[in-house]
Amino acid sequence: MIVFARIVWAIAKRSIVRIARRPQSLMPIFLVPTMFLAVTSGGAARAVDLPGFPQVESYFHFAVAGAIVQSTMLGGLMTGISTSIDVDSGFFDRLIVAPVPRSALVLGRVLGGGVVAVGQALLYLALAAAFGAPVRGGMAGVAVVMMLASLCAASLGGLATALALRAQAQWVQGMFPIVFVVIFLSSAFFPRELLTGPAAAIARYNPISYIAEGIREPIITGLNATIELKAFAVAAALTLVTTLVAVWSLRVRLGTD
Amino acid sequence: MGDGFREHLRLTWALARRGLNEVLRVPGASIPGVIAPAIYMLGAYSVFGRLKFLPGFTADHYLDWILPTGFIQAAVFTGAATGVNLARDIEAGWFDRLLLAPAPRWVLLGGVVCSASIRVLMPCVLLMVIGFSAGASWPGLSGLLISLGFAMLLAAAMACWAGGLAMKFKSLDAAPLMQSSGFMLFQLTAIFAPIAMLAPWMRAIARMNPFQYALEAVRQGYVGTVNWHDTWPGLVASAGLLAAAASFALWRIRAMDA
Repeated sequence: MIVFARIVWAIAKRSIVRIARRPQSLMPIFLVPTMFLAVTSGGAARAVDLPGFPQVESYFHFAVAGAIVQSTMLGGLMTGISTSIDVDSGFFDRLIVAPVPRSALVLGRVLGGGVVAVGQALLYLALAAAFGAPVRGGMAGVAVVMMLASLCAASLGGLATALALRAQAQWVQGMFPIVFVVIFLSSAFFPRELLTGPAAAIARYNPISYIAEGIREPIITGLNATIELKAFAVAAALTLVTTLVAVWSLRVRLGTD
Repeated sequence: MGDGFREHLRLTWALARRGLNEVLRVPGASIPGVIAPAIYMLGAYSVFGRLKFLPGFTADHYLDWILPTGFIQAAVFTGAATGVNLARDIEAGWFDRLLLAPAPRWVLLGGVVCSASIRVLMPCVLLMVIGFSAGASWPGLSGLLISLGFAMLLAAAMACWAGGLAMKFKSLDAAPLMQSSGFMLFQLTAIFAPIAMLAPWMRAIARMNPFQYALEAVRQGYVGTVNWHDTWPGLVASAGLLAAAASFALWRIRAMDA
């Protein structure tokens, strides 16, 4: 078991170091959500005056959680793109012949994405604090945000890894717009009760809504057991399912299933 | 009109047709740019639709407010896609062969830019079909023609800008810069709410942003009525943007000769 954990961590560490050494890969996961956060905060600033909008310092305070979700989802996608690059370059085939459990190859990547997400969450929380939007849930709230952000990245990382192991790299890159659609159809950037059109109905069943609300609550109000339990249940279930799908994809790829 | 000039126009049209052929013959490359503005419009409508209830909001239906932004998004995406295609042609060596042709540089550029101006009509048509089906108000013929005219003008400007970047970097690595520069500049306008309702820092940027004036011109008919007072600032801003971007592109194409 310890050997297995050590292998998983070695693969995860490689994913983390890879991101740190390729600054261009940071652009989509930091720059895009930060710009989107700035634009929506400036453009929809008066949304806080709407009846039914939660009590917040500003729309920016409300939307920080959306930026964390967006950033960590894109981070999870980068896990898949990184797997695609390894598959295309032949590095993954060399990993396969190593005397290690194959599921560790998948788990390590998913874990790596989850660890990077902790840094992403901290960065956005620091940004929020700098612009007058503190975490009202205190240190416990920060810990909850970090854990949910990590699970959010891991869930997308599992899905993207599964896709990378079964399809061409273009398909994984093609998931970028889908991430935006999924976020638009959730309550990541607006309260669920105030959404209109198809998003109002879809957001209720969109797991990203629950994760976003679980991240938002400690930031704007404080810890709420019901909301956090729902968020953790959804995020953990999503991570479990997508990671199992990724392991299954690897088995199918190797013809062992 | 001299024979030489007529020949140049014929060549421009031939190059424009080459750009248009790509839509039919490589549809996979153009689909994202065609559907992205519609997705963005529906997403923004769903998320920010309730903003219309705020005091001071100037549209009765949020779809009327957000649909015109799609025309400019379409122009930005189409212009960027044109630049990406040019970068690919440069990487493949095709553009080097074009540069050997005994044709003025503006003709080579003109063909690429014309194809962008025509291609932008595809996402615009999709936007109109989805927008009007979802309940957006009919802007009148003049409002519709103004929307399409500005989309074509801005697509030309963004194609010049993205084409200039393609000629500067000569690589597809510049694609994110082509896509994000125009997109982000446009985001710094009154997309989601009237300019008076923006945060003060964003209001200040929007007032200096040429896209803001183009957006106000395109919104006519959908929100309020069409009038010259709201049209000419948009025309001046868009023409200025086109002139600046075309100068940049001509400078870069001449630099490729050097």
